[in-house]
Amino acid sequence: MRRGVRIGAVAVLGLVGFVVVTSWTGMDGPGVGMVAFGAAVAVVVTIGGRWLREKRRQQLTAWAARTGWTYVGKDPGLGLARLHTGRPFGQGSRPTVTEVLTGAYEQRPAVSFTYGWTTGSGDESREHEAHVVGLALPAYLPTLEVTPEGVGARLAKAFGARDLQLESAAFNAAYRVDAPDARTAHAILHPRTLERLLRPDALGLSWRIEGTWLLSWEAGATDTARIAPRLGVMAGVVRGVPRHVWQDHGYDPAATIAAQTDSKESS
Amino acid sequence: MTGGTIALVVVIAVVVIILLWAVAQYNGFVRLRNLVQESWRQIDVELHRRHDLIPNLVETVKGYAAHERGVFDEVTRARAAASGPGAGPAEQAAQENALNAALGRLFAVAENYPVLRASENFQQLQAELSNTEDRIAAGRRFYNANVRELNTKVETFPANIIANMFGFTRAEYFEVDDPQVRQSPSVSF
Repeated sequence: MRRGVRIGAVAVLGLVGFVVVTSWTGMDGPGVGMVAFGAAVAVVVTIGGRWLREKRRQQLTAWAARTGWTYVGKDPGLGLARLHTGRPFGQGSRPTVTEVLTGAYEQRPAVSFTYGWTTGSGDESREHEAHVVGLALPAYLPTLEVTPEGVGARLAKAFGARDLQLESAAFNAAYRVDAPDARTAHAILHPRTLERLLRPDALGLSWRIEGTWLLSWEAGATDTARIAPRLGVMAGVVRGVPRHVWQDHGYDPAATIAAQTDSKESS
Repeated sequence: MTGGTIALVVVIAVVVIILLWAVAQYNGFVRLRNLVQESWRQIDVELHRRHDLIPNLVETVKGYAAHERGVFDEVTRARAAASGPGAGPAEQAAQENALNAALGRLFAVAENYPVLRASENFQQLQAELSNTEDRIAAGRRFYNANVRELNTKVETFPANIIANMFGFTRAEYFEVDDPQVRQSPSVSF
């Protein structure tokens, strides 16, 4: 959308410049009608792009107001995208973080944004977008990536990519699991979590635990209707992390609850 | 280049490829065997942690139900057998099953004493035991996954040729009957 606005502005300037140059040099330029038509198209593109962008901003702001979240807009510092290394981040060039929404889900900080990047150059240049939803974790956990099993995943495995095999054949057929720390991955992906991830609302979701965030991503720009369902699945994964896994990574949920209860009682 | 030379080069190339494959397979077996041993040692650590909790648990229950001597003796005997050195997975599993049964009876006794159940020390020990059992369950799943991978490799062709040549054998699964140890971890937030 913003690219359309930029193209419109450049087209108008170019057209004006072309007319000025041809009139100065006495060269044959385009007719006045042609110039007027071009200028009109450029203005429509510019105004249309601006209008669409404003409408989108209003939609996201309204959604945020309804759900108690905050619409932040764009993040020139790239925020989370800089903190993470795996897909969809770190691909192509010219990364952008836009349509940033922040809030909470089940008392945990959460974020949603559109991550954009460009591949190729010149005529081959292509723009890509992914809708990223993140849920903050109470402590650092080793990286664990779960992606739907597909042609790409099978191809990756053929070239030596890791795929942790768990005790559920249905889960192994539906997902590819990549985890440098297999022990922790086995502890997190216990039978109850596997069962949760095989329910229809979770099937096909790509997610990754990295650092202190659990992120999921889907192709395309932000779709507000998908934020809550995706966070529901992700919160299920976080709830299912056994206490001993947290303890091994410097956090004890039971101790935190006890401390909260004590502070409530004392206040 | 004569036909004989070409044949010789092909034969040498095939032999080199087979040798490289055999080395890769052998190294794969060694890696898997070490992984199985390491994951078993991790279970052993968790089992010891669990065994170390039991004397405190017995003493706590004794404080409220001293006359239930038979149950205490049974738990003590089963714990001593389970914490003995050098048992393999199958033998250890049998001993753990016996200990689980004895602990089940100890908790059944505790059920009859509401004051004991309400005591902070008992609740803390129970929570710690449950957490340790979750750790054992996670360790067991990881160990069994490694065993499954090793056993599959030992049995499938052509990797089984290398397994037979160098004496790589199937590993034992660690399977327990106790539902508490088998269950998914309890999650508390």
